[in-house]
Amino acid sequence: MSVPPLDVTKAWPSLELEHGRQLFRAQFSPDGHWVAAGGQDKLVHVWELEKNEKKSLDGHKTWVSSLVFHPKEKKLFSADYQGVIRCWNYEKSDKPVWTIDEADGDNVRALVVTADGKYLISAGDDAVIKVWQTRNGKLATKLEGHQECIFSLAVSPDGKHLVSGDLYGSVRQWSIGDWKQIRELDAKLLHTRKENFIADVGGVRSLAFSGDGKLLAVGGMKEAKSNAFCPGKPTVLIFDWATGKVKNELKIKGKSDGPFNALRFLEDNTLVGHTEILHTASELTFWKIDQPEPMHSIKNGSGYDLSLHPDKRQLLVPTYVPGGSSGNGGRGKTPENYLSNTSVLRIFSLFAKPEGKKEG
Amino acid sequence: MLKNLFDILLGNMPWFAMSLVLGFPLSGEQGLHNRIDDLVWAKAGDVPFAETADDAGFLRRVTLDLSGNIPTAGEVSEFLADKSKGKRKELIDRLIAGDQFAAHWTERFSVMLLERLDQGKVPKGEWVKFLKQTLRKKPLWDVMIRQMIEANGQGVDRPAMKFLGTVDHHAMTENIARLLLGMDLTCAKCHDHPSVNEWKQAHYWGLFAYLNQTKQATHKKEEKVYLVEGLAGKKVEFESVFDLEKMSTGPRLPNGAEVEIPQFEKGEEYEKPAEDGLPAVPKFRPRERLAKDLTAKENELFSRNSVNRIWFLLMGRGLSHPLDQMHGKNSPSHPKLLELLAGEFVSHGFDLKWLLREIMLSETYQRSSRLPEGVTKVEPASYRVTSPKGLTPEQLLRAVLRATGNTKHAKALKVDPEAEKFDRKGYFTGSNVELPPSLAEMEAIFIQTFGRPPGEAEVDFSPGVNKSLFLMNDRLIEHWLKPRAGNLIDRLSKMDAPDAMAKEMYLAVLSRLPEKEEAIWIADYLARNEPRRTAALGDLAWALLNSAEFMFNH
Amino acid sequence: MLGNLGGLVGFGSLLHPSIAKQIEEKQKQVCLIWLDGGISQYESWHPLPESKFAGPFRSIKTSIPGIHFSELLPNTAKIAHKISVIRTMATKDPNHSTGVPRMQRGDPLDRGVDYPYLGSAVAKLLGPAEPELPPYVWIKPGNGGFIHREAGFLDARYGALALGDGRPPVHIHRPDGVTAELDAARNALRQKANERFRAYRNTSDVDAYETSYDMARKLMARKEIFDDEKLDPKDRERYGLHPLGRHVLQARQLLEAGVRFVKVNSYHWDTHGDNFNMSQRLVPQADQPFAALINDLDDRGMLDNTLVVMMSEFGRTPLINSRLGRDHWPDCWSIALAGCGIKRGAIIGDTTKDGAFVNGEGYDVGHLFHTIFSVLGIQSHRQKYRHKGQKLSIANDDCEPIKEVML
Repeated sequence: MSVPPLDVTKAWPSLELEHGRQLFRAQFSPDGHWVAAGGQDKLVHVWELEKNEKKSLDGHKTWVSSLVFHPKEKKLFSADYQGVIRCWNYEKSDKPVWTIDEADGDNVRALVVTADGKYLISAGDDAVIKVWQTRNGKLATKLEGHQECIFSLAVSPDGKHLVSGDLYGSVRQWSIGDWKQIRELDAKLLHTRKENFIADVGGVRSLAFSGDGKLLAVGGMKEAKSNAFCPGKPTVLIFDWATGKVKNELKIKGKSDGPFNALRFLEDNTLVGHTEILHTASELTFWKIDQPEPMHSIKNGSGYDLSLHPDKRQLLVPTYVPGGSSGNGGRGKTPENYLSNTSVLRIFSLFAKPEGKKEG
Repeated sequence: MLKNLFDILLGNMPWFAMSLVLGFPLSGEQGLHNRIDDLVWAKAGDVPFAETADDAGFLRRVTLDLSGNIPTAGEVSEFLADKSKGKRKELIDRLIAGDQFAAHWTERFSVMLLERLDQGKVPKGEWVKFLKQTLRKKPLWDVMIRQMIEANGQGVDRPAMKFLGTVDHHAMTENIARLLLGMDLTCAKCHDHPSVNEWKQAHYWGLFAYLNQTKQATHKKEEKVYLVEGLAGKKVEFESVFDLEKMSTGPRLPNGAEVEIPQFEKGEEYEKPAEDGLPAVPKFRPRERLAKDLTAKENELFSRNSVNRIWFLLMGRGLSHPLDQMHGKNSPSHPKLLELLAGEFVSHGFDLKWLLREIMLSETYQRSSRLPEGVTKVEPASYRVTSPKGLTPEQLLRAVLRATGNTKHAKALKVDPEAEKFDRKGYFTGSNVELPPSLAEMEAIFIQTFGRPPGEAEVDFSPGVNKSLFLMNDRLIEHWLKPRAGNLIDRLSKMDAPDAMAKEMYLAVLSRLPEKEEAIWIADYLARNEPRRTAALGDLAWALLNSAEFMFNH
Repeated sequence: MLGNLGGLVGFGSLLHPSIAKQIEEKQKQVCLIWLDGGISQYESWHPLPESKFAGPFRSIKTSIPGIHFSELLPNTAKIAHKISVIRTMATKDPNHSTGVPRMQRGDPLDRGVDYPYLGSAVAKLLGPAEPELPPYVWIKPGNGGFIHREAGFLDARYGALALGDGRPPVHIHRPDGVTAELDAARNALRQKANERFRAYRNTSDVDAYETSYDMARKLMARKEIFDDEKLDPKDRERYGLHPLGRHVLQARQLLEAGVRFVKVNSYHWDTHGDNFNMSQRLVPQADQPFAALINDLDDRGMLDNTLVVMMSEFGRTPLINSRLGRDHWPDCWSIALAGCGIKRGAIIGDTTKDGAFVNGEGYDVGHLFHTIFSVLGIQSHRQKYRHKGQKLSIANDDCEPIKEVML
């Protein structure tokens, strides 16, 4: 089957997987046959796309905070807000292969696997990056240096470097293998603490390398107005990887006021990102990265993650769906009609819709 | 025959007592001020009264009341030296005709009517200009109030509309009742007043019905907002929260008959079509009707409230007090006097300056605040002695500036338009250590400290810890008490004789000559502080500025 | 200082009963910790980890068997047996602008007047605990000054003396260069000047004026009670170096000095966005000083006479919104009380399984005000305010004290 040409301006939602609770993470498996997702209901959900079957892996005691597939083996790693990491053989078993109980002093917020599949890397609230053997979940090493909670991790396309981003906007580069900090990039713009705030707001919420490894996109929001509503300006900083300098600052066109939780480069170096907004629709945004303004955007509910299918033509977004009882106060609401918000895993096809094909 | 009977009956009675017995003034020539005194004397009976204030005390009081400031040291000396008999009357007339009269009374009325709220769409400056221009001429109180209620943007009366504020019909109703009729009807909105029998819920809604068609409209060309009237077709319905009985009323004054709402054929309701963004003008305009009815000569509620409030502004308490509780349960201290003042005010066409002048000419006004010999306490409502009134925040600022000789300097301050806005809040917390850059900013600081919070009636001066702390420790006060060319401390520091210094200081700060004993303790303090004489002068002036005598209009 | 007087209570039986009662009444004090914007009950007092509305945080055991708080309240969990928590507040107002005044005024039946805020009400109803000190001090971030409007229809003097960023009004300090001696000397001059004026006049006017100077000078003399510089560094560590920690520690100092009512405000709890990251950082800022204050008052023998209340204008929605925030939820939420006539360890309230709704009636703020007044020895149904000839109830007539949390 020939691959249709990439055209994000014609992108359309080609599949929707509904779920009764809010999901914050979703990933395609490396072979493209599976989708894994996790969120509020503590379960790791795995869909086998062709069979349209779903199974739920039970084990976490709290929200699932991060998910990553092993690049080569049928392994899926999940982490939660109580510092637990589990490894699943999602095809064969409902029981974890192994479990790490205290992967972080508090919460694990990000997971990546090295390109060779040897190491699982985790990071979170205790600001220490931990490197685990994917084989058995044993600690290989720890990387210290960050001063605050780490939100995001990424591995460079050549497999040689790890980047990590924290609440204060510090992005650090580490060498994979000898595990040294190489340098620190400045994304402080994405952190706000005004005089009257009682908490730090923002942070580096997403990291993505371009396919050629020449660019690093760093996402979050800038100029947060308060530590209560936490509204800010969704912002992406494009770093020139060679020099470590910011090449460009990308904005959105719409009204979203939350951070970029996820970023991905497409094969033509188009960058795609997704952000959040309170009580209304957000958007999936595409940039040619030399222009600060987006080249295209698609209305979508608030989105928390992005995953690119191995065919490079499909994009997976765990998307917020209001449960119908949003907003302040419970007037007119009863235990019977006051239901949880939900989500949909929305897959966008990044090419022109074939004639006669229905949406969804 | 009648003449003889008088002789027998009345014998050697003084004329004021005679008029009382007879119940009518003996002489048409007699001014209102004499009749005020008669009624105050009559009410008090045979008890001692305070003496007439001395010249210095009189001058300070009259100057504060008419010009909003204390007199200068020079004015005091001059007035004391003036031996002419009619000098008090002349002073009153001069000050009423003077430059500061309109400015000061604009302040007083503005504070009374707006209660320091910058309400509505009319800029404060326009309102002030309207009042000032009115007060400079021959202000007629009924006309002024009429303008404020009927103001609808047709012509020059837009600034007067500030009194009505934004289109909050309840706030309008409550303010008009309270400020213009002496009736705090707030409680009567939801039910008849719980403790004042004669205040009915219908009174509230009757007033409301005059106002509920008022709305805002923007004149397209002028781009200004006006208060216009919509079509009033039917009565206002209301119910008591207690018995839930449904009632209705058309426009009605609390002491008047209900105004019938005229019904027009469809298409006949309007006098003038919509124009420039302003809606069509209905033939029946209840608010305009209210302006007329409320200020009518026949409306005793209005005339009595008016004189009561003006009396209050001069005497420190109302004949009926509190001012917004004019009802049967709260009898005035001098019912006949209130009636007399109201009647005379009406018959003199609500001539404001005339009324002020008459009250100020009275012995009652001119009485000293010192108790009569041998008396330790006098009921303030008897007016046998003058009750000290607190200075308004604006008076206080001007008085401090004048006393310390810093008026010119403060007026000359020019705000740098490039400069950052003065951080007033920081001034009070200490994070801003700058001095205020302008007289206006100083005034704002004084109002914040000494005024009542916006929206509250400024009816009495209540001392407060924060006020005392301010006068004791504020940087401005400290600043003004440092010698600077021409100011009080500078002038004093160049003098040699302690006596002369005492005299200059007392004239400037307390607007009187020092008594012998006071001159002595001044000399004494200066002698003990010889090495730091200039600073010691500052200490003394500080003490006088912080004294009750300075702080009160007494 | 009242802290010292605290020792006297133990001898109550040796004193004439009425005097003992007077001392006790005199001693009753209040500290209101106000988390403005609304702390989330799920991330604090009522975690319900199995609820579909739960956040990601653990629930932890407290010092009361079977009772759990959120892991974000580790210190308070250890002293749960000293406090009461009401988990079934059901109030009426989902808006800040009206909710804050409504909650702090106790939502009495509408009589068309502006009721005083709680601090002003207590200042009026009990007067100052120490005659030299203002009865109502409000410690808050931002600006300070004398805040009249808290007094509502009461006389402005019942307003709050607000310490902006914990600092007293600048005018409490003598200007630079004015020494204590000089200040005393010039005040002697001032008094001398007043004597003459006072000698021949109605004394009340002049006396009131003189009194305000006396009070001002006493306040100046005791300004060390506003000075947090001298506080023990260990205490600072215990209460936390963040504003709320500093301000609650300062509140302890003011309570010890004998201020009747201290309100401490913390702003920005209105976590419509990023509720979980924010709660993770905010809730411990309340936990640490709240627990420290309860422990310190208890250690000093003051807790039985000092009421501590920690609350907001409402709780937060069970539902988690698109920005991972929680919105306003007055329908079922939690507050904490301790000390002065409040039971120790009463964690009450029956809610639906998910904690979204109250089973049964719930408690409105009117009930809370009756409770607060009652434990302070004020007869909340009988005592009235007088205002313009009206008798006004001090708390909502339709409500009763919350007996479940009262001793």
